[in-house]
Amino acid sequence: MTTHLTDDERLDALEGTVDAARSAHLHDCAACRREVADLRQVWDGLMVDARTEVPEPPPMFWDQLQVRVGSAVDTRTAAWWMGARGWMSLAAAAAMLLLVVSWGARQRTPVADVVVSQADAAIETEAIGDTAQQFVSDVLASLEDEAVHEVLRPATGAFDDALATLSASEREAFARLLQAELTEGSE
Amino acid sequence: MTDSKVTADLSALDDLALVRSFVDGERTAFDTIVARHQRAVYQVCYRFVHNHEDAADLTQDVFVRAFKGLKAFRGDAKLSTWLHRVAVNVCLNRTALVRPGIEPLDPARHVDDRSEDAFGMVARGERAADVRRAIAQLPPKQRATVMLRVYQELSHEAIAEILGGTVGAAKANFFHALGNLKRMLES
Repeated sequence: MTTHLTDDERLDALEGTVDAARSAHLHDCAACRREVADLRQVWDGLMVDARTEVPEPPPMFWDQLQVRVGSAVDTRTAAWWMGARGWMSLAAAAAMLLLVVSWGARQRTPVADVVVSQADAAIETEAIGDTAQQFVSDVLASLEDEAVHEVLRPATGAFDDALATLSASEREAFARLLQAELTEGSE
Repeated sequence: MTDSKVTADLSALDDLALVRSFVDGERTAFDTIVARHQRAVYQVCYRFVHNHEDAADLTQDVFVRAFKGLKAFRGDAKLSTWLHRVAVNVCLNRTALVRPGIEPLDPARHVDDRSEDAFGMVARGERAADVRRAIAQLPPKQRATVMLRVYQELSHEAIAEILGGTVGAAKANFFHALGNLKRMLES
């Protein structure tokens, strides 16, 4: 006596793809025939519903669908850009703030012919940096959120123009200051 | 080149060429994709929710997701298979949140059986509605498998490709779905 059909083979029997040897077992085994008949009953019930056609949508639906999809894509893309633009504005504001603070500190750093110890210079730079930072914070606090965005949004090419006015040594010093600020910020 | 000429040219392209054209920046290629596959996608969606309004929303959502995801389409599967997968995922996500509101069946309009009397059609319609209610209670993967096997008449291989997994797993899902439906319909 051969073994009963597996679940997989019962499904094959239902779908008419069971191989000859197992088909012979099915012919001789009442239990397996009953199992397959149960499956067929459910299958027939499904086919009753499957034979009901999907109703045709309103005539304009197909034409409108392309427009609806296009609008939805544009709306979601616009929303994404609004979000991205907000983050970019924030990043630009942060960069501008860094520039202002660093520039303020650089402008007020003691000139070369004044002898100041390194420790004193560091304290002074920090103090002046704090003053500049306080000034910027006060200005920002007095503005509405949208105004802050407008004020801090750099004009196109503003950074390039500003950098172009610096000499080579000034650019090196500026780069060092930026690097120091970034290092400090990341610690 | 006029718009109508562009559209005519795009209509002549196969699916893969359309996708490439879209990825290269030809947005109207996506309109052609929508026009070509909207009916099949709508039918999949309708089978999940059984009403036009939800099916229309789902169809729109499928194409919006396709718009965003098409850049990742590598052409390993057919575009229709890929869209089926997107549609099934969108439908399962939606119907996991809301059980479908099933429209009352109009058997005289939808059942394709011209030799049946009125009483038989009503009985058949009620049975079909029972089947739909039972399908709606199936676990998501079993429900998707039944939809694709019975209503879309896809092979187990195609279903495995759409749902992800092996052919054996797809067949096992279908077998268990039939068993669950049998229990639900008997009760």
